[in-house]
Amino acid sequence: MSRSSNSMGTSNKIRVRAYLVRYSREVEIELEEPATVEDLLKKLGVNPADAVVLKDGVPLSSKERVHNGDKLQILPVSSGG
Amino acid sequence: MAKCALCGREPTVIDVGSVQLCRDCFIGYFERKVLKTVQRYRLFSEGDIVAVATSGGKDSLSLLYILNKYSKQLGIRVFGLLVDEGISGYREHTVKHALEVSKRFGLEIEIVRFSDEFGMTLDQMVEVSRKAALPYGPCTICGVLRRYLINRYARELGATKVATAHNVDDEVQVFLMNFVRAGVSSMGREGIAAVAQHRKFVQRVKPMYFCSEKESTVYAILNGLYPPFVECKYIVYSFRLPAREMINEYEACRPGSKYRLLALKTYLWLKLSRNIKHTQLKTCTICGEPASSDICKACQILSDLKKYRKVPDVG
Repeated sequence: MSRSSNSMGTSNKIRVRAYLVRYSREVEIELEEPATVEDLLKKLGVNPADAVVLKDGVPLSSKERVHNGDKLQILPVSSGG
Repeated sequence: MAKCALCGREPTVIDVGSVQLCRDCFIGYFERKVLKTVQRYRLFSEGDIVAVATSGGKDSLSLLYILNKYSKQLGIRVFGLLVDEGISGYREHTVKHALEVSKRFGLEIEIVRFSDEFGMTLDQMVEVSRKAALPYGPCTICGVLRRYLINRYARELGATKVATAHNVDDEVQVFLMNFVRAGVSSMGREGIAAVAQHRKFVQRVKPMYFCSEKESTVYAILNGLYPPFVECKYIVYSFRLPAREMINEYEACRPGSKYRLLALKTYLWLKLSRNIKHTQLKTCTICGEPASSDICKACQILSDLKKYRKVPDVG
């Protein structure tokens, strides 16, 4: 995982890995630091009303920070049935 | 890190309205909400035997777990009633998970199978219906036959109430579906408790009526109840899917939309239910179970399926 500065050198970018459970697919996302779960879902285009974000199996509220190198799971709230 | 709005601790696990809660405060909040609903709407009486309609999914296992946890306080006895319809690639996983959870937490679960009761799995019924061009989609067959078995087995196992894990999301989805269908009479019947008069009908109640699906998901995860993620292959045929997506879009744009819809639904239910006659249900002339006409919907469906494949009589 690498950190990089923007052209002004005033902010860092972080990279996190997000595993989309519904699609069995992992994606790497770059976010401006500081970033929250809310920012991550927005960037992924995932509706926060239909998702729970997990880190090490523990749910995170929308205001929790995500950090460089985090491995997160995006679990859909609704499941068919 | 965000701080819990109730105790100030970190980290927080969920947003409730515009605030965040930590693990312990959320579990307490969720359980109090369920218990308050039970008490405020008098869903149970002292001595009730409660069959929890259990699918092995997160919502019904959460309900079974909570009601079992507080059964002494509520003065009730609780058991799970799981209907295995026979949906390959789906139900076998949730049944396995339900049995593991029941063993881990000492929960009693009874299993009833379509294949034992009707001589066919849902998958086989769907195939027969499709080949014969019968007017029954998978969700219709499943819903009717599941309700039939839950009511019958709950009663035969001594239950005085059936508790289902319908939550805010389920309720507003059905409300929207009824709205689109102009199903006014259904709107007047879909309340927190199902009222029907028949000696064989077991009253149905919804203790999680005011809990969101996101809340029950997080509750299930925090308590080790969450099943492996699998989806029913028939969801794509369900009218519920577009309703679900539309409501979630509204919720994302206007947080609180689901609860406002629930409030509107409840208001209309109170208004409309006064005009609906809760008449005595009839008795099915084939199986003897409660019916809205001379033959219950389960027997109608099974009878049609039987014309194209041998299915034993129910009852």
